[in-house]
Formats: sequence, structure tokens, C-alpha cells
Amino acid sequence: MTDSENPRRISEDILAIGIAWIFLVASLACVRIDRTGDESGDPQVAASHVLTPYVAKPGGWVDSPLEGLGGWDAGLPKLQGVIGSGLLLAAAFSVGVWLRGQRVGRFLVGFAGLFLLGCLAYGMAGQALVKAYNLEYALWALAVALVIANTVGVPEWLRPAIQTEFFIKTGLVLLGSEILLSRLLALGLPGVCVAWVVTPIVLITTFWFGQKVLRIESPTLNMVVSADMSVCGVSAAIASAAACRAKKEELSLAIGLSLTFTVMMMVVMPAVIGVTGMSQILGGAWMGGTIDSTGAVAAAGEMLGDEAASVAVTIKMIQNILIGVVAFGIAVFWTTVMEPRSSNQDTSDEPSSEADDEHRDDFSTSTAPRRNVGLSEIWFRFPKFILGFVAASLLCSFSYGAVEDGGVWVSTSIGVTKTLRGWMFCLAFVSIGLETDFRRLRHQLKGGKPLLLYAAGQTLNLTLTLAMAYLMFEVVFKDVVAAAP
Amino acid sequence: MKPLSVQLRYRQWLLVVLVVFTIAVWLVGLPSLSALPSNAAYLKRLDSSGIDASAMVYTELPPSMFLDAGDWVIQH
Repeated sequence: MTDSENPRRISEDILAIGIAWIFLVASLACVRIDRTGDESGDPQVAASHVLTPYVAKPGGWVDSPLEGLGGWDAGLPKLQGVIGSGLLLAAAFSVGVWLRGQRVGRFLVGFAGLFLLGCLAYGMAGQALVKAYNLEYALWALAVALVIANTVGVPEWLRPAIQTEFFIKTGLVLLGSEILLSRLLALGLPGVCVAWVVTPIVLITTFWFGQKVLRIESPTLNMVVSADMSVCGVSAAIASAAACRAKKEELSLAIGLSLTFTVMMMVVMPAVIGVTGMSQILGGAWMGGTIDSTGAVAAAGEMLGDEAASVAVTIKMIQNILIGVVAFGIAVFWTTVMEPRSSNQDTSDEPSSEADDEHRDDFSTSTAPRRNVGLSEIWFRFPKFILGFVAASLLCSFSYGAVEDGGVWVSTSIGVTKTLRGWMFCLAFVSIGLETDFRRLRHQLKGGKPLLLYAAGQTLNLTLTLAMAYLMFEVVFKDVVAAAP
Repeated sequence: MKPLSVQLRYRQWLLVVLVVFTIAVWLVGLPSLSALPSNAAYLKRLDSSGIDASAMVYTELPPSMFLDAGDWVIQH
């Protein structure tokens, strides 16, 4: 249903911001901080969260999925948290669905099924070996749902709960609270140069290459692949796809590409770094700037040593912080440049067929001049949830850095909100899988262009990141980057 | 072109086969592979470091891993 058909006239973006901010404020309010002094007089700060027992996801396991819920013998202690998360999300999204004029009862029935599929995806991703190779829940949520949709089909009772964009937007606003700008300088200037100078260059160059050289039909697919490859994998893919309104199968494809390359890179890069005799700091910085997924960066760094792992994850953290800037930039670029150009094409062309519609955003072949758009039109088109994301990031960054005990306060709150955010993304990926037809995925793969785009972009990324890391850590700041004893 | 009922039955059987295959892989195959000495040692290392290799965002990793939370210093 579009917002124009919504009888209560509340847009999905506004509702997403509202739900996420209620979770965020409630979570911050539920943190309890205890300050005690030890014998030397130094204050000791301990924090706890009221909601921790009621918010959880299935964890890791080796032999039995029940281990992921805390173990049968222990009475499955995590089950309460998993059920609690489901109830919290069902309640919040029921209100959203009601405010959008849809039937709450039908939504709740479908939500129960969707949530069980999410539990299955988390369970599959939780097996220790699967986890160790970064085959994260997004992949299994997509896979399980794709199999259902393309074999027996999606049951009618499940459909009202398929609210892909709503889950993604709400999850993204909540993700904003984890993007702490105050940690940008964790590695000083060298870290910023590796993560914030190389990454935008690679993103823009890869997008340009996709448009002008490979001539990829869909600019949104091009942007999502470029962003997930250059920034930080699945989370960047979700944010960029929402910012440029990419098609669902484009997001699925980008994530599939990213996870495939991530598994290869997390095995090959530590071996290459070891063989070449590169220092742990340089090797860690190189991996942190290039391997897409945050967890894979940590695992690959650990193969080299503690020093490499710390540098790698810190570079990746600084890159994670870039998500907000990238999502905002993409939203502005799409609203002011890409959409006016494509709408201009639409109005100047003959009435388009469905096939033409598929290609309406083709930036590469567009010779149409840019149509000037007014500020009100830009505001109308702009994805408003991005503002909620940025505001959440600013609030938590300020609280983290400027408030007394802000670090422990915000970190404890994030411990709960990141679990809810994970559930929202998981439900979104199940929804995407249920709505995706294999045949449309095949169309996107035509000519292997997305694969070529990823490979070319990652090659540039590997080269530029290595050069910048070498310059920063081995030449310019060689004497000032040191480890404490 | 096969009739719709035949296609549906084929797809239902395909789903059953995929479900059985998945259960076998996850409940038998992967635990067996995890028990191999080299894999078990790797998993133990990750576990002792608190590393979740499937983390999507840095907040899903232990805070002590990061340079601004540990003993590392940047001297300017």
C-alpha cells in the first residue's frame, strides 16, 4: 500500500522513525548505573539493563541448536528473551500497521509465521562453523524464504506480515544509535585516512565504472553493489538500498556477492599477509579497509595476531561510522540527480511498457538534460527515515562523549537495541526472500556484470587501501603509532 | 508444459528433499566437521577471544578489541 492510499496519512518513514525512537529512548531509560569506590578511592562504574532478560536472539551452537538458547539442561534461559523480542516487535509493528490502515489481526497471524522463519534463520546461522565463516543470518533468512516462495509458494495468511521496507527503515534508524561519531578518531589521522578517504574514492569510482564502462542496466543495483563492496558489506548494502530505493532482488544479489567474496578474502588475505612478511599493523589496516564484513575482519585479524586484529576491527569500526554519511549522500544524490533525470526521461518518452519500466533508471544511457526540481519536491522525494537515522547517531554520539558515564550508558543501551535491530533486519530478509522470484534474480545476473563490477571495485579497493595504509602506518606516522607495553 | 497439479507436486517433493538435506547437514554434517581437530581449535580460539565472526556491525564485537578501549596509544 502506498502512503497516498493510507487513510490515516502517516507515512511509513515517519512511523519507522517513531517506533525506532521509542525503542531507543526506552532502552536508554532502562539503563541502571551503579558507582562504587574501591580501596584506592577510584570510582568503579557498573551498568545493567532492565530489559536484558527480555530481549535476545538465538546464539551460537556446535552440536544442537538448543545450545543457542542456553542449553536444555539449564532450562533454555534465552527462550524468554527470544519470545520477549517477538512480543515487543509484534506490539510495536502492530501499532504501525494499524496507523497505516491495515488489519492488525491478519498482521499478527502472519507475523508469528515470519518470526518463526526468522528463528530458523538465526538457528542456521548460529552453528559454530557457519558462524566462523561469516555466513550470517541475512543469507539464511533469504535462503529459507526463497526456497518456500519458489517451491510451494507463500501462504496467503503470511502475506500481511511481509513489510520489508517498514522493517528495514525501522532497523536502520535504530542502527543509527550504534554509529558513534565520537569514536571516529580511535586510530587518529591514519585511521581516518584509510577508512574515510579511500572508501568514498572507491565507492564513487566503482559506481562510475558500473555506469560508464560496464553499462549496468540498473543504477540502483550498481550503487548497492558499490556501497556494500567499498563500505562494510551487508549493513552498508541495506542502508544504501533503502537510500536509493533499490529493488529487493538487487539487495539480495549484492549481499550474496558480498558474502561470497568475504569468505574468500578472510581466508586468503591473512595467508598473503603472512607470506609477504607484512607487519601486523599494516596487514590489519589493509584487511580492515577491504574485507566487507565486520565479523570477518575480526576473524581474519585474529589469524594474524592480537595486534592485527585490534587495528583491523578499529579501521572497520571507523568505516562503519561512514554508513550514515554514505546513506545521507546517496539519498541526496538520488533525490536531486538520479530521480529528476529518470522522471524527465519518463515524461519525454512514449508511454512505457513494463519492460521499459525495468530500465527507467538507466543513468548510463541517459542523454536527457537534468530537470530542475524545487526544494519542496526534493523534500517530498527525500527518504525521511535517513533523518531519524542521523538524529539517533548524533544523540548517542553526544551522550557517549559529552555526558558523565556516557560511554557505559550508551554501550549498555546498545546491547539491547542491537538485538532488536538484528531481528528487524532478519524479518526484512525473510520478507525479501518471500517476495523474490528466482527468474528475476537470473535477469539481474545477465552477462555477469554485477560480478565484474564487484571484482573490479574490490581490486581497486585492495590496491588503494594497501597504498594508503602503507603511506600512513609505514611512512608518515611510522614513529607515532606505537603499542603500549 | 506439465499440468499445474504435477508441477505443484514436484515442487512439494523438492521442498521435502531440501528440508531433509538441510536437517542432515546442520544436525549431522556440520557438528561432525566442527569436531575435526583443526576446526575445533579454530573455533576455540574465536570463542576465547569473544569474536563473533558473523558480526554485521562493530557493536557486535567485544569492546576490548578496539584500540580506543584497550592499552593501545596513538602518540602525536
